[in-house]
Amino acid sequence: MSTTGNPSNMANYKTTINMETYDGEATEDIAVDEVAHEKLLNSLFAMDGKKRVMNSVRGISSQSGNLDLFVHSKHDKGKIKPQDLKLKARNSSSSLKKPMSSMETDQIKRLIARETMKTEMTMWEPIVQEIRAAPQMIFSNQPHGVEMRNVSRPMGFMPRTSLEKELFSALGRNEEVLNPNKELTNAEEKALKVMSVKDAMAKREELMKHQELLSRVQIKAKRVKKIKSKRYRKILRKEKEGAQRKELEKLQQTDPEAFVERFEQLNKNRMEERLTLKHRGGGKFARLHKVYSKFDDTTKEAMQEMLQRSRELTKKTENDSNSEDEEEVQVVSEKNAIVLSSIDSEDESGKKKTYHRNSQLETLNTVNRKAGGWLDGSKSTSVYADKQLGSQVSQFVDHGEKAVVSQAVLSSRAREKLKNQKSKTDYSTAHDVPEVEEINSEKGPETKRKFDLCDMEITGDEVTGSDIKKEGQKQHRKKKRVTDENIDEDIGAQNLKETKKKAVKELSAEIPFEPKAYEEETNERHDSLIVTMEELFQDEDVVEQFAIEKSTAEAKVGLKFKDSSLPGWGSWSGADFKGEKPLTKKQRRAKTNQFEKSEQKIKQPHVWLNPKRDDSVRKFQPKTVPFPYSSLQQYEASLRQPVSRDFVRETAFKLLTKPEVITKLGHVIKPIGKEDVFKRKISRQDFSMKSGTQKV
Amino acid sequence: MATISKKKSFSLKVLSRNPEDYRRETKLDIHKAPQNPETYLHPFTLGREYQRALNATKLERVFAKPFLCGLDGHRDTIQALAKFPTRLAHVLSAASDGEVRLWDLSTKKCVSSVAAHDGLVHSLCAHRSGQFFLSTGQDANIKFWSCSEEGRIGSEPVRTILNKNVYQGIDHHEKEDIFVTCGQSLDVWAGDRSQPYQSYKWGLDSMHYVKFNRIETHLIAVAADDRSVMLYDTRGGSGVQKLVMRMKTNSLCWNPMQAYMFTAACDDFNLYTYDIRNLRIASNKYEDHIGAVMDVDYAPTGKEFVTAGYDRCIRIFNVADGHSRDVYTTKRMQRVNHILWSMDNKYILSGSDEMNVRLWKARASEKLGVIKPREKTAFNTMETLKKTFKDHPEIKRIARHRHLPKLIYTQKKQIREQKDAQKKKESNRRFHSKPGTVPFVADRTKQVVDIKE
Repeated sequence: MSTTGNPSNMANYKTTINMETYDGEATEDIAVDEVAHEKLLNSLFAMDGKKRVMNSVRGISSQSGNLDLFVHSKHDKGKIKPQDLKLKARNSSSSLKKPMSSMETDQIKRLIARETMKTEMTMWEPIVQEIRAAPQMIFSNQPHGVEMRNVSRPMGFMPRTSLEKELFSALGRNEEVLNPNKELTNAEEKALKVMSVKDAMAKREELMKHQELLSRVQIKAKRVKKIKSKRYRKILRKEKEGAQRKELEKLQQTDPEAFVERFEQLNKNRMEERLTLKHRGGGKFARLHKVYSKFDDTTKEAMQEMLQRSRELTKKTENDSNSEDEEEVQVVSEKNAIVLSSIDSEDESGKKKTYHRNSQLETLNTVNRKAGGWLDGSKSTSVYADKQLGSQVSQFVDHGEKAVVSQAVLSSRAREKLKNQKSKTDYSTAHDVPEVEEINSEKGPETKRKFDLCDMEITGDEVTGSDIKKEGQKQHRKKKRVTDENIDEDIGAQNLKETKKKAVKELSAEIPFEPKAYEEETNERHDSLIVTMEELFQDEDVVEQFAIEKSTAEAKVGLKFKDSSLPGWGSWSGADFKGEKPLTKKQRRAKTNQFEKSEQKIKQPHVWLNPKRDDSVRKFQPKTVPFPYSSLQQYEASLRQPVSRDFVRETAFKLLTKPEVITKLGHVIKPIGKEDVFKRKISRQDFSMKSGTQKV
Repeated sequence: MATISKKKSFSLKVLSRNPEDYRRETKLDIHKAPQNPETYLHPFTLGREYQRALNATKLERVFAKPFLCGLDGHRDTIQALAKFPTRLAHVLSAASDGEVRLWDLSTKKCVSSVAAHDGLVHSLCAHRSGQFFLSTGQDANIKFWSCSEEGRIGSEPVRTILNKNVYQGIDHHEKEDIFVTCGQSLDVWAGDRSQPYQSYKWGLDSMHYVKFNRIETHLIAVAADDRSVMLYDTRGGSGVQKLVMRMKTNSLCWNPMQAYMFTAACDDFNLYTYDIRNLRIASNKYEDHIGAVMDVDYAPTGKEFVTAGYDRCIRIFNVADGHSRDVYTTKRMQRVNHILWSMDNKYILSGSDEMNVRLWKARASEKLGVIKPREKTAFNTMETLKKTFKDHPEIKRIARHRHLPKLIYTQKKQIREQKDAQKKKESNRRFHSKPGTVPFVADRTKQVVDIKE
């Protein structure tokens, strides 16, 4: 078969169609134009040179047969009308039309079929689009598995055998048996009927009373349960305990076995209490007693006792678990001993060191200024703290108790650290220690200041708070004499002084005597560990070091600009060379801005921003924005919406995790039904109901 | 003495919880976990969900065991596979020796078999009622076979139609008692007539594959040996349209949910989906096979289809994507000639050259059988998460990873290179020639040679 795709052929088809379908109308047209047509024919014959043979009979056309047909076709009117007798030309073609070739007819048929197919298929368009866009498709005739059916109730039970009959008669007569169709048994119904109104009322009243009583009790119980008063609870507990005790006594006499059991239970409770370490002094009661203890000796003793007990309780476990620590401690203690022995010798070289320290401090200050003053932030006492360190060391030397050891560990460690840096802390410690030792020779475990205070207490109440302050200041002056002799009144020293004073004030305001409340001791020790930045960095040029580190890091990252252009490359010349287009102002500005920005980012003087910081993460991130999303923001937003049950509410979770396709197990999925779809379409339009899901 | 030294800046945190917080008192006791979905309370949501998605993807690969069983028993290469429109468990297969077997998938056994034809069986299809099936063979007969509910095939055919020519393809109408055969001509048969009531011919070449549209049931698509796909309408006396492609179409399948879409499995390693209203451009092209695509079948959901390749693998495509979502191979599976997607959207059947019918899962890592509601929600969540994070490189890599036979792996690489080279060449040509002389041509139109009307 030949190709018939060209447009000219197409035009042919159309004309042929017209010829076929509209033949009848064409005759009429021709009849109207008959005169013109005759003329045309004559002229055509004239061109040919032959004369046209014409029928000469007047009044009758040459195609008489045609006229007959024409006349007889008008059945409704039997007469021949004058207009019927008018001359009429015969049809243009005398012979029958040639039938179209099978190829042509096929083509026409195909064309028609194609057109119908297209129109039919376009009807599906909205449905297909809906299916494609549907977020969820459910393939199930009955998506919820619910089907309404008429219930076929079985026939009532009919007794057949003799036994059944007997049973039925027996049960049927029994009034207590519950009929499945009724709520009450026969007997109950009867009873209901029998009961008079009066009785019923009385019964009801009684019931109501009972109800009210019950509710009252309930309300009371609720109220009592909500009481928060500790006193009330205590009383209640005491009562309970008393009752228990009484019961226990009674039990001892009556049932020794139960008594033993109960007793063991009690013991166990006590043990549990001990295990939970209740005697730590952290409770409200204990804290209050701590406050009272300064006025009352007995409470003081009780407190001490309690703390002692807690220590005893905790001691054993500590021993068991931290054997490693102990060893370490021993080593450290030896070191400390050595340090102490060398104290005297250090004392002699004290003045030299002071001078050295001064110079270091100055350099540090300059560094600080360079660094923009960010070292100023944290400063605290050093001298005061050092004294404590010394005292702790002396403690250790004097007593060497295990409890102290851990403290000593801390302090000695700190000391070692400081000593490594040749700080003034070390120096001052060395000076303070003998002094402290002088005073504290008898009462080692306490810090010096505390000892002072307690001493005052012991001697009497003459010493007031101000006295204490004075004392403290005196001591400071003493220390100042030792430490600040050669220092000018620079800022650092000023700060030192101020903080010292503050510390003393705080201390004097505190509760003066508390020998074994070690919590506060530790607080103070903590303070002591905060060392000024000056001390830490005094003999290092931090800024320079940082600059070096930064440059090495930069080199490592490879940030340096590499000029990869080859010599001479790009600098062309010659006859045809036009030269590169110079950058526009805007471009130049943009370029410089970009460069500066990047430079700024990297070249902040005291900051090192690692440009490769995110590289490890970048490996796990998508390189481009994936397909349906047009912008990064969109994509990120889509990721940011959590779907897991832990992060969203249940309803949202269910909506977000809807599966795309729901099928039923063992259910045959039929292709989409044409009738169903279009019917449904219509009904849906009627009710104007729309949903996201597509049910098939 | 004090043994514990406290330092405020230092705190040691030990993982110790009260068992009451997490342990159930009894087995039936359900703790309602307190939950507050405020975003600021879950700063690590994104990270955690990513991790979950990653784990889910990994687990999916761990559980991806698609092969269920091989149904062996045939003594020659598989020539045809057919499914019943009404039964899920029964499947028909025919071999080159003329034998037709009916398999029960629930027991994975052959229920019955019959020597249907002398010589090979060309094609099979089930009757719409599910009580019969039809077969055409090399002996130029069309035979009707009865098939009981239990799957017993009658020993003798119910009806035999003797013909002059061999019919290569057969398909039954979705709703009416009409079936269509193709060979030298396309014949439409109705009822008990021994002659076709309609016969179409368009060109001289024989046709080898025919398929009824299952929605607009009067439409027929036929693949012919002259590299063409033809559309016919049973209501009219002649065809509708003829599409000539560069290479032969081996098989085609109508989309069961979209009335005007069909997919053609082509000899040029690709598949093309067409909208029958406009055949000049394919609406999608599916690449990935490295051999001729022998057969294609749509999932009943219309969202996916499965293809059988001459390259000894089965591939599953999403209709909307251009590349396969999964590929199934086994060591001993030879050229796959026929493929079916079961009517419950769960299984895939493949018939290959080495006499085996194989049963696969449609989704490789899916859990079969009844799934409890909690499992279901968990699976759904995981699916959603996987979809959300599917573009992250790590997840993408794991999800895409397949262990393929060496042949496929190397060939695919090679084809990739060829394609890249072609692309490069074209772009170079475009770059070095006058603008407009080398136009951009869509990939989806390249295979179309001509449309005859």
